[in-house]
Amino acid sequence: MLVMTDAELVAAVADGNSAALRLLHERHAPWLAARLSKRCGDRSIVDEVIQDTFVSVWKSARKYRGEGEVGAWLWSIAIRRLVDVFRRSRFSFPERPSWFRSAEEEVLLGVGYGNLGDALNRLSPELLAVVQATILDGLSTREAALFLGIPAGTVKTRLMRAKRILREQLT
Amino acid sequence: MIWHVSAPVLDNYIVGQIDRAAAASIETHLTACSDCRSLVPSHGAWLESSWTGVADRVEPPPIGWLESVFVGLGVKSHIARVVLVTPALRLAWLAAVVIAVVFALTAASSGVDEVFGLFLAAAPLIPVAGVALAYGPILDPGHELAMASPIDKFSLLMLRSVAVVVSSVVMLVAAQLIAPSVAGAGAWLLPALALSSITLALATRLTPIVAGAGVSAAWVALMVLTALGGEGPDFAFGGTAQAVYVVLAAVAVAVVVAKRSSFNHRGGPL
Repeated sequence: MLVMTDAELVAAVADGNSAALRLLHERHAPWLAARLSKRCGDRSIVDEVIQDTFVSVWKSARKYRGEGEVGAWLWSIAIRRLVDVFRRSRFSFPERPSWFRSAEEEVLLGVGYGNLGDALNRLSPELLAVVQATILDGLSTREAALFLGIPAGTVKTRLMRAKRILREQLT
Repeated sequence: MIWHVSAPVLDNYIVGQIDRAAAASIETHLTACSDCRSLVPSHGAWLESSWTGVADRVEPPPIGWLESVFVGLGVKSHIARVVLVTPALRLAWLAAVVIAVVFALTAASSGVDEVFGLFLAAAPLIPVAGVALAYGPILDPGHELAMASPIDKFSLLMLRSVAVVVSSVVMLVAAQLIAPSVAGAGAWLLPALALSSITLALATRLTPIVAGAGVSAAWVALMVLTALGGEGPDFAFGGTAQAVYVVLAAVAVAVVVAKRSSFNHRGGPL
């Protein structure tokens, strides 16, 4: 049997084929969950976000234009669903997401691989968190602010500072 | 792709034993590489329960063939569903009615008057039982669905009772067509309608099950007294009696219509 590509599966989901959605879920839920777990220590929230993600895929599969990787599209949905959860429960989250502290520990360990890796790892945890949310996870300034629980202006200034430090270290 | 994620590195990433820069590289790579994505361990039970959660929100509940026929005929789908989940309209119930009546009529065709009388006495109770079970939390797995549907209780009970009475009558007639014909075997029809209407009228005050039980008990008492009094079947099923049933049915329907608000009252019996 011919194996359908992810893009073909998304097209089938857009036509209301739930078996295609199940295949997409089977292929992508594990790595999405692993990646989300790096950003949210609460496993039950990760599970909820995974389900929300595929429900949104079901509803918005038509919006996928076939440009870019399906994986990247799914991640962009998943990370925004996680932001939604943080937004809803913002006041019941007295502490920062647990990965924040582990990032700090890692930075303190000062492990380095090559130039950029070394430079990234030596950023302070606050700056690294902003780089991660905006550049690597693709969130907007506003979404990153909600995600990290800091004002949008702070996201901007920290990102500028991080870029300046990285530029200095790489030249 | 110049490089791929090796299994040990991926394991380290998953348990968090890796620095942020390497983690970022792996994540960016996973986004684009299906081969490496498939290396991420997937737990069957977790995947299954996660999918069940998605499927519950994505796949509409299955629509029965009868419901789609009703919807095709222009009945609104929520009405078709709350009527079709009526306990007394289940296939098992309907099949039981047909089988019981076929046996009763076959026995009645033996020519023994007592057996035939027993059939006439029992037949009107079938739609009464159907109405009694048409609505209520005890026997209805769809009760919460019914409570949540955008129909008031009165309309719901009416819809279901009409559906039950019509289908019971159709079943009884069908059974009479299957079984050997017996003269006067249709004499149960008007008593059945009268008893069903009285059950509904009482249901404005009592729960349908209590109303149905009371009406059935009264009918059985009437039948027993008739038999003990040595009266023939004409006493309960003759022309005069049939006229009385028409009047009783009309009065009961009038009571139901007049008291309809009591169905929807907060402290109502339903």
